[in-house]
Amino acid sequence: MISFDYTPRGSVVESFDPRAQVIFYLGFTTSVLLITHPLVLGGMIAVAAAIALLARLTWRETRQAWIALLVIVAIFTVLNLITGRGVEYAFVNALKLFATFLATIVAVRAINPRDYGVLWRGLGAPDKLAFTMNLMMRYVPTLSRDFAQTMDAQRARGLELDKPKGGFAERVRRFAPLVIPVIVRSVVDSTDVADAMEMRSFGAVRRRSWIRALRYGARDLVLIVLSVLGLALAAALSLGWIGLPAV
Amino acid sequence: MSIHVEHLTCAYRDQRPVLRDVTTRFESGKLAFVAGASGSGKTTLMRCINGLIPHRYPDGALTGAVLLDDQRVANLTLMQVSRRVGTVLQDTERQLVATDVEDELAFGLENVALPRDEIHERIRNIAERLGITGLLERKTFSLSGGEKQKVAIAGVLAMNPRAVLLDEPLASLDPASAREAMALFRALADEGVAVVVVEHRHPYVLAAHPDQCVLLDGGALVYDGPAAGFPSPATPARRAIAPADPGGRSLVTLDAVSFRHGTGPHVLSDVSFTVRAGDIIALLGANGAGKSTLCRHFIGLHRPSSGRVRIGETDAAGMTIAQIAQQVGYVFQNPGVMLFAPTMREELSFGPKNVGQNADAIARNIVRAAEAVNLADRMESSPFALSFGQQKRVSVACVIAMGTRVMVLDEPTAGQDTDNVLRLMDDLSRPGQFDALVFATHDLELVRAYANRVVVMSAGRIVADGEPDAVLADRALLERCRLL
Repeated sequence: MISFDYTPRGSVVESFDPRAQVIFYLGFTTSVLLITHPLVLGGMIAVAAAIALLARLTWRETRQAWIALLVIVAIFTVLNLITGRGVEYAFVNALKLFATFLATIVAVRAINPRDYGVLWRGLGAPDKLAFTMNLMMRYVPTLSRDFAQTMDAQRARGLELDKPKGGFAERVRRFAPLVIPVIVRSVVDSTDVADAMEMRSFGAVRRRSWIRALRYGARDLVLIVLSVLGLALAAALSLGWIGLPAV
Repeated sequence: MSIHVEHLTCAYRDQRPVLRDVTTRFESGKLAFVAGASGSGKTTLMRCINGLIPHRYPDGALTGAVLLDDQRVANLTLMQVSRRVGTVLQDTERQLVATDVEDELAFGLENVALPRDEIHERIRNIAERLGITGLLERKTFSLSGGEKQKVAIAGVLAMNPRAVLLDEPLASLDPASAREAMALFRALADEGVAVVVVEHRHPYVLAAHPDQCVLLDGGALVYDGPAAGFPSPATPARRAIAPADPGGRSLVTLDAVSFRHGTGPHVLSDVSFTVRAGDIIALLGANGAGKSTLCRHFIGLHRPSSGRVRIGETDAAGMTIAQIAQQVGYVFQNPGVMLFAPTMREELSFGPKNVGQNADAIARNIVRAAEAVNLADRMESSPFALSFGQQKRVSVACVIAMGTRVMVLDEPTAGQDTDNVLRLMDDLSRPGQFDALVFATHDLELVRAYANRVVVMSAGRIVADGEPDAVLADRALLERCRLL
């Protein structure tokens, strides 16, 4: 659903320090979780949509993700309705999903994957944890390619995926030959990756250096302050310290 | 620097020794070639030198010693070893840990906490030296196999090691690229680095005039000396293969097929080609010439952007891959992409069940398939417990069990020793085993031994199609296509 194939677009959003972007994202999504007022959530969706426009995201590159989101929202809405949680509850949850989704696609596409390690290091994570974020970005496409190869290999053994027959159980059963080779390869390969890292001195010193350098500017600090204030406001609303008219 | 291996015996946990009393020495400024069949202990020897044994595999039994100059590897930390000895793994895809090439070259230098300015300077120098400055801004995932290998080597050399170990660096390279890689390793040795190359492709390494050749057999060192006396395996003899029949029945036909990914450049251009009954076709071409893409069209894994593919007389456009698979079998380069069942018996049954064979036919066909690849005694073994060569044979047996009449193999030699490859090819080329066999390869000796028809590809086009003797005699063509 989400591609890590980052393309620089020269947008205003990308010009912020990635640490400030992540702090904003965490503050925003936590606020979405805390808030239940439809009008405030609507406002937050408007903010997220404006940021998505500023990030120069196009319909073409996010189309598949939108389709997946609509499916997810539909499933959750139906589940909420048939479990008797009411229309308002279902509506609020749909708004929350939209807001979180919008913020996530901006965060994923506006931060250069090569900055993930250094940004988490800059936010105080230890080197090993920070570099794990880099590794994740590196191996998501590899994992995706491994899965595609396994699908091709099993199709070539007559596994019918193009015109599947049978019920739900049969379709689930058909999944094992697709998943097991990918898992086994990942486990075996992870040993090679760990060996390769050790043989290049990973973990040798307490604090490694990073070739990428990040520097906060004045507007990054403003964004961080606004993020913290926004989260505080959301917490106050959630705790009922600030009243809002009912809808 | 010199690497002393002294009476080294090594066994992994609860297993028989993989190395037995090995003593040798690798020197700075020398190119060393380590050869041996799969399972002979080559990789284990590398692991003992680069410190992975005992540091990462502490449970095995290790006697004897490896010394870097006069220091025992076992007494050094892995970081201390890694600053002197660099290792390039066979599968460079797993060695590249960063998303971008520049970060990849920086990785080792960051790990030893070098200042940023020095890291930039070393990257600039190593990139210029290996001619990869143009790759610095690229994503590692987008690199070709040859480019990945150069980046992996650069990442190791950036740390200024005094010895470099290379595990099967030529496995997936076309002949010209293999020669260029060996020239690079030769140059490194001439600059004073101790270079140790583990490889199955003997002729390419020997052509680079290694200063020392080491042969391992069953974990024991059976030769250690100059290239002149090295017992290189004999060139495989020409098998008694019937000539191709140009009037044979058409099994797979490509009519003016062109293919490209999305809006990218054409990978295949106007390819017309027929696989006929009785053909044993060797598909030759440099890395990126379009061999694998062509093979994938035979079974519908790729669909033409224009033109059409016919299976027998049926247009493949209306067939699913699973339907085509009942007539055309495809063996992937890496058997690991398909193995999933707890036993070989269940693994072999999977395809026949998918294509609707009844229980009696399945029982009969899986036994026949296992016998065809000499693995009938391993029916209850887990496919994951088999060696790479055996797994490759299981993947072939999976196709045989389905009763397909056309077999397509992508790079059957990659990562396999000569004996394994010859055994596999003897199985496959046996009369009556298949109606036709197509194999994509870089190994011209294999082509001479088994093929009755050779197809050469270059830049997505077929540039030669004929009898092996005629095509392989055209040296100008082979050089132009990077096959010499």
